[in-house]
Formats: sequence, C-alpha cells, structure tokens
Amino acid sequence: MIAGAAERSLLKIHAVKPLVFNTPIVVEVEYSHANYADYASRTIGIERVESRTVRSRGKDVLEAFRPFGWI
Amino acid sequence: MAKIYVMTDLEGITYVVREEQTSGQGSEYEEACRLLTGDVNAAIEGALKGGASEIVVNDLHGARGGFNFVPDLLHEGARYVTGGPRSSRHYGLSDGFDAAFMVGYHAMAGTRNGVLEHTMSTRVLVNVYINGKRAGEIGIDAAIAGSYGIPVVFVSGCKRAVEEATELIGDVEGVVVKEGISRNFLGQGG
Repeated sequence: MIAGAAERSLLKIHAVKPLVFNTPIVVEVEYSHANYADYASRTIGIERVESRTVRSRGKDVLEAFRPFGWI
Repeated sequence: MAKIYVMTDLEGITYVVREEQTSGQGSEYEEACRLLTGDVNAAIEGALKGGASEIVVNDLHGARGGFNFVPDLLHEGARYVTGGPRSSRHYGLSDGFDAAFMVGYHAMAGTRNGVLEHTMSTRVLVNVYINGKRAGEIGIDAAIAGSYGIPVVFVSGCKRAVEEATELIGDVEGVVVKEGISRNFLGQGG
C-alpha cells in the first residue's frame, strides 16, 4: 500500500503546489503551562503574548520558526 | 528523474498506537523501530519504482536522539539523516529536491481520534498558529519544504493525519495505515 502510493506520488510532483504562507509570518505557540512560556520567552525572537502563549515573527517561515527550533 | 526528501516520524507508522512504542524508554519501542523501518523501506521502494534518482531520508522522531531506524534493515537505495544533536532538524533539505514525502506523520494536537496526536511535544504544546491558522507538524514541516519550493506529494499516517494533510496541502498521495477510535486505540490496521 505504501509502496504503491509512493510510486504514484511522483506523478504529482508538478500537480501539487508547495505549501506557502503569505509573508511576513507570525507564529503563535500556546503551551500547556505558563512555565513553558516563561522559558521560551528567554529566547531571542520570541515575545510573550499571554500567560501560556508566545509569538515569533519573520520575513518567512524559516525566520519565524527558527526561534522554536523547528528548522 | 526526481530527488526526494523523506521526512519520517514514528506516531503515524503502521500499528504504532501507544506511547510505550514511541518513547525511547518504552518496552515496545524497539519493535516500533522495526515497524518504522518497514514503512520507510516501502516508501523508498515505491519512490525508486516511480523513477526517483536520489532519496534522502530524515529520521525526525525525537526518541533516542533521533536515532530510530534499524540500521541493518534499511533499504540500500537511500541516504539517511539520523542521530543528533543536530545543527538543523531538516539537515540537507534544499531547493535541489523535487518533492518531499511524510512517512508516519500524525495529526495535530487536539485532533479527535488522531492516533498519538500532538504537536512537537505531547505534554508541552497545546496549539500552534501560523498566520492565525492552526497547524501541527504536517503544516510546520510542509511549510518548511514549501519555503524551498518543494511540494509534499506523499503522506502516510492515521486517517486524521491524512485528512489534515489533504485539507492543508491539497491532492497529496495519502496512505491511511490505521484509523483511531481514540488516541491510543485502533479500529483497523494497515
């Protein structure tokens, strides 16, 4: 099942568009507890929004995701 | 001839349904690694049949420092990014690739009946929004690939994960390997 779908998927390379978000990018992350937001807020590029929520901004997703370590 | 970058995770692998399988300290973790390697090998086999000329596979599950594949079972037709710590989660990803695969991906945190649903961390993150749109790891990693102009053309995972990918990305080739009745309970296998 996986092999067959993987094989067929190569036929879609030019049919499926890359996922692109409009720039600039704003990312908000809501944590389960405020202490995680406390910790994240110490990272350059991350600003506090609310008790459990922080935000980053970037000219593109790479810049906005980088402070969270997702790149 | 196409160059394919394969992103892999563990929670969306065939028959993986419990945290005992996905935690590096779990009693069923080693068996889950074999299941992961099987799904990865199948994706590689298919990609090669479809005409892929080069395949790089990235082990993105966090357990054991990102070293989850079973080395002596891995398909010889690809190169692998595994282990850590890493300078980059998506090491080696560049605009030189033609397409990306997501093997074993899971639904975003809070998805009802999403098998082992979460976003980046089971207990730490509740929600992620990109420009106000709620997203999980499928959205985050597809956006990273998209920033290099690379489309995600293949996604395997539970039913909810494939639905999430289709809604967000479009007409991907999706493989539903399992359907959750709850977070840790399957209704059917692959």
